[in-house]
Amino acid sequence: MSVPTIVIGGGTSGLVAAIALARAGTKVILLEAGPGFGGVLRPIEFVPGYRALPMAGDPGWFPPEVARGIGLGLPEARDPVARIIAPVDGGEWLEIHADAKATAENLRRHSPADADAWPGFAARLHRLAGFLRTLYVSAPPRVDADRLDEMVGLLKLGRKLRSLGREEMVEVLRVVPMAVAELLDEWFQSDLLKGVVAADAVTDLCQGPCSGGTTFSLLHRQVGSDPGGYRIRGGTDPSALVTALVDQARRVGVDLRTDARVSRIAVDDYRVRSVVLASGEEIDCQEVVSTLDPYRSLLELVDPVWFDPALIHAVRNIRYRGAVSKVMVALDGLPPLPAGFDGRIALAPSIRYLERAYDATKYGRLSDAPYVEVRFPTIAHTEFAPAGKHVAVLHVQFTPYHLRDGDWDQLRDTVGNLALQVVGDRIPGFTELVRDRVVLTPLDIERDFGLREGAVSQGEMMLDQILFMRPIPGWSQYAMPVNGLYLAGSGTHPGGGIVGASAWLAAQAVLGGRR
Amino acid sequence: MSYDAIIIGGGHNGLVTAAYLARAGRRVLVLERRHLIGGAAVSEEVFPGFTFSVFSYVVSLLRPEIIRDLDLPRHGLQILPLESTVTPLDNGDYLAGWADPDQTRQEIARHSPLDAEATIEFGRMMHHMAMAVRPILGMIPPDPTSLAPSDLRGMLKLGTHMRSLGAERFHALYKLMTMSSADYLGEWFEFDPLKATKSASGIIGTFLGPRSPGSAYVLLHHYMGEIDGAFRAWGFAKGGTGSISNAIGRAAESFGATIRTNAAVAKVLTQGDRAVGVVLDSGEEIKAPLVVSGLDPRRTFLELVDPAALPTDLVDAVRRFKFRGSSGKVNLALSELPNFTCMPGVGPQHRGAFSISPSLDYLERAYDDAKYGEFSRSPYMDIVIPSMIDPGMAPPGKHVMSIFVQYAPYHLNGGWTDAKREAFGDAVVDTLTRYAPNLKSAILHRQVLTPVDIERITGLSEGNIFAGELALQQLFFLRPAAAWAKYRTPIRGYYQCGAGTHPGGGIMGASGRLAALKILADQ
Repeated sequence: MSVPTIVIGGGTSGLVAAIALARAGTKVILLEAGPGFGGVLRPIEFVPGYRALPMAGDPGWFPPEVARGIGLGLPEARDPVARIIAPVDGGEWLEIHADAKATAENLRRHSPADADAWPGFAARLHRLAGFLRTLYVSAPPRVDADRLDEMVGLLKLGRKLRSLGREEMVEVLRVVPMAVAELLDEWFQSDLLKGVVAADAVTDLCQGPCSGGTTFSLLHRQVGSDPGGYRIRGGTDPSALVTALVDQARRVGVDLRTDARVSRIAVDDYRVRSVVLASGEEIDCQEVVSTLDPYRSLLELVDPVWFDPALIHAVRNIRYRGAVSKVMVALDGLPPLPAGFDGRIALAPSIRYLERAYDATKYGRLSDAPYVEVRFPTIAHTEFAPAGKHVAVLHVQFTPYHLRDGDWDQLRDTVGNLALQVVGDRIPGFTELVRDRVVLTPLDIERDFGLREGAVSQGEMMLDQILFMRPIPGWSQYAMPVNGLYLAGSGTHPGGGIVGASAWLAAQAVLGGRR
Repeated sequence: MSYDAIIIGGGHNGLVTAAYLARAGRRVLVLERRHLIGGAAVSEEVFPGFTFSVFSYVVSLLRPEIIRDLDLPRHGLQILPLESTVTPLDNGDYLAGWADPDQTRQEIARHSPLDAEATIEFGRMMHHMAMAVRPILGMIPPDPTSLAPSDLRGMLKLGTHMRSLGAERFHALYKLMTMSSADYLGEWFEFDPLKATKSASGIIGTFLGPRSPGSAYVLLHHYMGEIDGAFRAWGFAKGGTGSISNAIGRAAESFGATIRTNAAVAKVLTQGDRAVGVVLDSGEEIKAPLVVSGLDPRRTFLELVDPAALPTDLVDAVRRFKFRGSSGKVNLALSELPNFTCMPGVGPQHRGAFSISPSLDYLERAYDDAKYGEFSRSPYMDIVIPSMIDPGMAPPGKHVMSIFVQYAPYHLNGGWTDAKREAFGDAVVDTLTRYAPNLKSAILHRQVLTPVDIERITGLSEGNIFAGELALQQLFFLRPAAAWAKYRTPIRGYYQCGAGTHPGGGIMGASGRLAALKILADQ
């Protein structure tokens, strides 16, 4: 019997890596610490009878290249009714749809100039994000390439950039380092519209819309948008995706194990030898593919004696900076919403509001007036609550993991109250419907989901931590300096928000490493 | 008298261009709006007996090749070193950096032995980074979108240079281009006031806080003059920064250039798609086949010529170009030296700079005020006392103090008024008096300059001291606009040579020199 390859972590990344390797004829054992698969897309029964996927605000874009690569049908087309809405005074809603025309039609009621500008903006975003898209389905270009075959990536990158045409090539280079606030000021007038789009850009970052590089983040989230359209995060059904991946993993013969927490990766002479579980069981293996974050994978599971001090320094310097709390709310019904609504409510009245909310994190404080985003998972999944009842998930930003004063176990209720107050103030009728709530602080998210500092990105998606800088400069090709050890989670290129791409590319690196 | 070239604006870049063109045998006329040359690098006797470097006040970036080519020392340039930087701390102690690196390390070790050790490696890395950027500073930016042989050659040269750095240094350079100075310094140091004082270089002239991504590049920009490894290799020009401009002006004149002051240019004259001269505010017309603007991009493209005659993408790019002046200047005439509580008495510290940057939070709060349209209530300040180095700048026993202040946003809530200007000056003096209690009573005269004043006097749009922010999207081939970063403009015979072009910013002269080289190469 051949020695297996072990994949650590049963989230989408782990599942994709396991499937890809198994399909290539490798014997794969997938180890998940918890009782079920899906990682951050795992449902929680937070109040008896009420369930939610608190971390599934954006399951991410699933590249067709990856779907094909693991023999899965393309994910279902996104729900065309999904949209982002924001309350306007007087019971009206500003709405952003995937379809630019529908968005423009709604904007016309609030700001005619912005309605005219929107289709051009969406089309431009789509094309610029299209450039990132090509980068996201291959390993990061190697800046240290010294062989011709390694330079192919760089040359391809240059060619792709040129193929955008002169104007848009300049535009990519110009806007990527910009603050999203500056970009939006170039296009729009409405504070509310700018606030809502800026919120999309800074979601899950510990940055405000005036921080340089947040335009990159906006483009990153638009990767996978339809031509001329705007990608609405949360449009894909995360539960269906996880089910499909687990089924496929079984079908291709992956040995799926739950409740199998890894406590150590044993290394011998710079080569992985085995994985030791918390239960004491030791499994010999030829490769280990870890989808846990780089810090955990490299500095906690492996004896640091095998690494160069410079690498350890670099791993310690990865910025995680989780700044998001989630509040799961059991509701007696839905507040008044636009007809046929599914999607998210963004409570970001302006760029200034968001920036002020972010300012608090610089001083290690919780925002007094946080950005809150509301989803109602029970609109699509009535089974998540008892008949007639509903669930809301509040995404609350900014609540920094690193607090200067106080600790998260004491501030849990403060965040819950604050978030409910913000929602209650903006969405009439909401407060009366609240039955119960459970708060997940960044510390809870770290504990419950194994996300370092509560950061879903496994390393903040900012310009200095992407591409060949991810997870750390010089080690962006998935293979780590210990032979047989690979990283495959969101902490590697292309990072969070792109389902399975890191894992798919890591699996290619594993297979390539055997040659 | 007829001229081959007219230079609009007698700032230091315009003068450098003039000198290089004259040196190449061209008949050059420099037209300066004010009564003296220098632009933002001027020395003026603002109060009787007290001479100030009114705006720009220290120098380290001036390109050595310019000093050499123009033989500036012969024309009176004399740079006197700044010997130290002292940061008063909130606990009454201080953090000092001295000219001697060993002394600096010992001082830092007093606060953090780890940081003292890191200083050596950090200095080495920044030295390599400055060396890595140096060839780029001397390069006419190639257009990456162009397939012209000269651009492809330029890109190849750039690519080869980048590869020659090796992966480690390339990564470090990439980090400097994208990170915040606080994060970048956080990878090296632990002592907060040290990080704050170093990060201050990353915010100067920029509407960013030390925690804003992008500020690390400005840090590097200011490090370029520090390549001899000293903690702070900045210096004063004897007689103030105006003497740098005067030296360049004299060099230009020695090559035959003519300089006219009190000659404000109203418009560039064109004929078809060619520049043929200028018309002054007075109505006087002066013809020349070559016109070079040393003014910032907004004035160069939107005021001196008719924007309707320019391609719309260029006009859009210039309209979007960020100025956002963020700094002010307070110049004080003093009856005695300030006595800093953290380092009492008069000593070598007065021959250096004082940096009011006690913590990263302090700087960040100062930025937060400006972000929401107010001047900083407790601002960052970089303070020098030029009369300690050059006694000629003040009457015997008296002193001049130059205070660079940030942040003072050009777009102040409600706009700048005389009352707001005074309130801003008071905030500066009050803050400083907390560290040097005798300061307030020692003030004989005070000049407060807001970004609006800087704009009015020097002509720099929105009072931006770099003639346009040094943001990543405004550098190199995007400075000031894509396809127009090579000193040319769409109007034949009309060129740009100010700090709004690559590499821009500071008393550097590199833009002026590269523009001259480009003009000469084109002819």
